[in-house]
Amino acid sequence: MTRSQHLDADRAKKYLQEHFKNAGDIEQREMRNEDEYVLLIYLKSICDPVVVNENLVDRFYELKSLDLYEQFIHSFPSSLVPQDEEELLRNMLKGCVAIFIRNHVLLFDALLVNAGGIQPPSTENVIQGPDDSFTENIEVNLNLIRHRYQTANLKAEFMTVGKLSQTRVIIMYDASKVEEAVLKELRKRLSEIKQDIVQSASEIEKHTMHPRLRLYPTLMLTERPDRTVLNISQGKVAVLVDSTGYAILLPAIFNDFFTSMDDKIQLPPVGWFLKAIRYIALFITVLMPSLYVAFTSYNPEILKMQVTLLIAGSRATVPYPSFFEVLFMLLAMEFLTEASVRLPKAIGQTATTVGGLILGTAATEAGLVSNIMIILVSAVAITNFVIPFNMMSSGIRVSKYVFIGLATFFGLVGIVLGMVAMIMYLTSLRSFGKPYLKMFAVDWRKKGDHRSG
Amino acid sequence: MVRNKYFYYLFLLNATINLINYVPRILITDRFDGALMSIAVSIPIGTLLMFTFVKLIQKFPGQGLPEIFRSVMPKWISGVLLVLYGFAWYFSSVITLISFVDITSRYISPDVSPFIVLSGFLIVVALSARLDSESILYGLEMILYMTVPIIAYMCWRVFSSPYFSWDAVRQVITHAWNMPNYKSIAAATYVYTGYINMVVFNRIFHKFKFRHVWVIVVVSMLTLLISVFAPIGILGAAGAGAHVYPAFSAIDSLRIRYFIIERMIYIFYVVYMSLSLVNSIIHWHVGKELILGGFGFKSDQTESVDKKRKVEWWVLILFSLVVFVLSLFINQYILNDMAIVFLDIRFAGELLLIALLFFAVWKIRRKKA
Repeated sequence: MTRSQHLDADRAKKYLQEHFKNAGDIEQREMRNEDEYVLLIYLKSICDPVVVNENLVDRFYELKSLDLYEQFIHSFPSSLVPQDEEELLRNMLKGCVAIFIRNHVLLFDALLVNAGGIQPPSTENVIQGPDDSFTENIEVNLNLIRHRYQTANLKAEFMTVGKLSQTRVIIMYDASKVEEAVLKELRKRLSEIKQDIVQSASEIEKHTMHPRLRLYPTLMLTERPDRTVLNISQGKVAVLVDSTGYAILLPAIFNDFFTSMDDKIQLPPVGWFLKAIRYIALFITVLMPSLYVAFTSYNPEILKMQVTLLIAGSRATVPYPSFFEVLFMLLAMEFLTEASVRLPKAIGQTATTVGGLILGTAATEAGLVSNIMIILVSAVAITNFVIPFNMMSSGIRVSKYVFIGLATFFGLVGIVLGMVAMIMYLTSLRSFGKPYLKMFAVDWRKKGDHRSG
Repeated sequence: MVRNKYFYYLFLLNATINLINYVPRILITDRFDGALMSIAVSIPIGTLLMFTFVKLIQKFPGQGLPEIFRSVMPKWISGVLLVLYGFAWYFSSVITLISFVDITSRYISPDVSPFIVLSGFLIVVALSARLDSESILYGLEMILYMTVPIIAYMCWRVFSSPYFSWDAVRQVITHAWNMPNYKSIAAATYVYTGYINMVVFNRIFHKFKFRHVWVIVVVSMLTLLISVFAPIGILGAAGAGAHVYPAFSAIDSLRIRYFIIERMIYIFYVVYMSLSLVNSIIHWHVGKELILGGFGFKSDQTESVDKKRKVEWWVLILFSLVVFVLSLFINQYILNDMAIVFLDIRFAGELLLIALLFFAVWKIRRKKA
């Protein structure tokens, strides 16, 4: 015996029976071999029956003596000798089998994880590139990363968060590249999480970052192992969360959200072009609707004569001011986007067809909106989805309404005001001490104070 | 901690913003009475002032003016000086803001009440001025990279315009040998004044070094010559004096043929509005820090930072109220006079500041010995 035990077997048995009174999935298995007797207690629902049968039941009848059997169980690194009832219960809830041998109590890890197989990513697609994404099983995710990043510098620290859910979290980083301050701050913030249940990576995002009220994500959620590995190799920290298919990457700056894994796969000039396209898309999707409002309602003289007349002619039948027209169409577009996310796949087609018909032709023919508006709304909708990260594109989606509001009250002046304010807001954000928006942010590893963010 | 380049950005911002602060107008008024000579004189003066200031402030790494003054002067003298400097610096942005609201209602949206426009400006400026110095510099960098190429394009368009009269420029140059005067020199040295922002931003500079002085000389000379000669070439040697905003009137004569926007003035307006806003943000930030420093708030201890953040609001509200009240009764004449007075005082104040820094260096050296 390596560890002496203070736990009394009979008391422990009684304690377990009391606590698992109405638990239907509790399994008690008594095994007798001549005069030797062993009792197994475990939760059927989270223990692997194959593991239990092979290692615990079969061995009991194969091995000659009970001492040998006990030594055999001790040989597993994951088997434990619980010191009190509490520890026994907690580990059983994690998937351990309690083994009662004479007056000893042992714990044997037989956790069964039901998770789907590795599937292609659903939100971050690339054209050429690996087609696997993180699964709900943290061990599999760890495997996916280890397999791609084969160095002993890759460290993995285990933690649990959430009082009741006890969600397992792994902090992964390259010890030779990571910044200690970021790591320390991350550990501190993770240990400060007070929530009972933590189920998803984005919840951790929400609880650890401040200010709470943010429009743009300052942590990156990814489901791609290759991106995780790339970022770890750049000195960032990845946080894997059990039971979600996403990893958190930090610190994340504005530019990261406009990077797709495609950029690395394509030839460099093509990669730069793609990135430029995304930034152009950002400007179009944020500014187009508000510029339309400003140009039609406040400063029609800014545009060329022909363009002004074209817009005015197209708007001739529209019975309300331009900001109302823009809001009307953009909201219709948002409803369509939201609906097509929620609809079951079989009905999904209907939404797009009907929506397309309404938005496309019927509204203009009825004279409710101008033709130019239709072009504009589709441009806005398409460019919004060019941004590769869902969290970022949602933030952008919201911020264009702020600009429309400013254009409605101030015209062109409001748009410029909004742009300056937005730049100032973005530069004031910090992601674990890293400036969020900054020119030439590529050399971000060298500087930046460690203010909160 | 930020790198050296941000010092050049601060200089560049002030150099580009001179159009809004009546510098070209003052110089053009004196175009036959020594403006060119004043420019010629102001280049060495401005560079020398900047160089001296930088050399002096390098003796105080990581310190702002409040910390420097506090360590060498009695509390009340440094308090009074800091508050005065704070308000003077803030006053520069008052001129920028009010003249820009005037420009807005003149050129862009005459149908929007100037007070609504002004309140929009004030909200953005006041909220942004509360950010930390480092973020403000990043924002400045971003906006400069977006605007300076457009400014360069517009300069090229002005000077390559077929209607640009080089004869008018030559005519003004014939008056180059007239004696310079204080008013014009004070106006021309405004281009260099960006370095004064270092009184607060020096706190976050890491091992600040001043190299490539020739870049500053070349850029400032180009800026001054362009802001004087571009209006003269377009509006005529005599005609240039008749405009309140010579730069805006000159740009308004340009047309873009191959773009959906036809008149250059709108692009010019957007560019200069962003620059004015950033300029005001920086000046408010510096003014606020100086005034709070004058009242003895320190920014390095945690408990006093919280208190400082609260008092900060009152300073910013006061700033906004002053601008609002001033804009009620200021017209173009008063604004122009205000700009002249400000530029004159500013020049003297800069000399005084450098003298004070010399004193501080001397005092600290004596303390050490």
